Amino acid sequence: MKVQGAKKVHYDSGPNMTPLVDVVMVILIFLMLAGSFAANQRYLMSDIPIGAKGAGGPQEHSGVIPTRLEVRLSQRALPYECIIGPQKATNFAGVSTIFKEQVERFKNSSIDPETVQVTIYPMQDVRLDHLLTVYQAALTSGFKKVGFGVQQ
Amino acid sequence: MKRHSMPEVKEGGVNVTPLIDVVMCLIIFFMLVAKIGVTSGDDNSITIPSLYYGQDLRANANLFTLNVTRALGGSEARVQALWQGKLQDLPIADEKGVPMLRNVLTYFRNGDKEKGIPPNADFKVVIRGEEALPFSALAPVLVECTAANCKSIAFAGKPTTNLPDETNDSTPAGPTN
Repeated sequence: MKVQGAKKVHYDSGPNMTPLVDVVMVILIFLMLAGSFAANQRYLMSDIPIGAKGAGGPQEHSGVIPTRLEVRLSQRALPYECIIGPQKATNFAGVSTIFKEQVERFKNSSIDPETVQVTIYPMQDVRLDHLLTVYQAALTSGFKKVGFGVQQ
Repeated sequence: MKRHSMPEVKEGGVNVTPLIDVVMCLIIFFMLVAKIGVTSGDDNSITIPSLYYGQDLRANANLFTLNVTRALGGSEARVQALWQGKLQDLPIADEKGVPMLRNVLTYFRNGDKEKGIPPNADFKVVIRGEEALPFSALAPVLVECTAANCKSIAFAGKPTTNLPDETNDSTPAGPTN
């Protein structure tokens, strides 16, 4: 009598990978969900936190007195009123335009705008987001040294 | 003549080897890149301003984040930061008049000779202030930073591609209820 069952071959080519794949997939999904990859914050840098009109104490100078540009910021108009020299603006576009004019003025006077110390003097009730709007306008216009001052 | 046929191909299932190769590469990538369990002390309940312009400083290891909000029922700032392993209040002056915030900033900036911690000239303070925070509350924090010799300050904001006045709420800062 011929035994048919003896001819069947078991194809067991290695360890069972199914549990490994299950675990690895779970780890992968966890890492993808738990990790934070995209930049969810942006930062505006300031090397001079606050001006020295009383509150911040004396500032250090490296021998050269920098050219200054004073900016007054208040809530007299909505959303804010920004005064740079004789000019006023109440929005980002207007403030940027004035800053760009100032940059040109400094360049015409052979002063590098990147060396000019821009000091923003906000009134006490000015909101942080408006403060940073003016701050961004100064940076995007070509100024590099932007800080804050306390109005007396 | 006996005819030879091709051997029968027998597969036990789908070949998962390439899949495991790829998945292992992805796992290693995510493990290296993802920051899990690492906190910089951000208080995510604060609505920070939107920033059109700015840079990404996350790779910088010398950051110290201050969460600045307005104190309940007052106009002063409430400063919270990750200090001694937990997010806690760092008052500008506590009940005994000790300048807690200034002391902590000075510790990070100037180091501690007794503990052998050297000064850190690259130390940066990150201010995560709520967008409606009035300057009257922010100014004392900036003054403390200056007093602690921290000259490098960064303001944190949400990245946006809109120009500032397209995203700003125009409500003036006033006392909260």
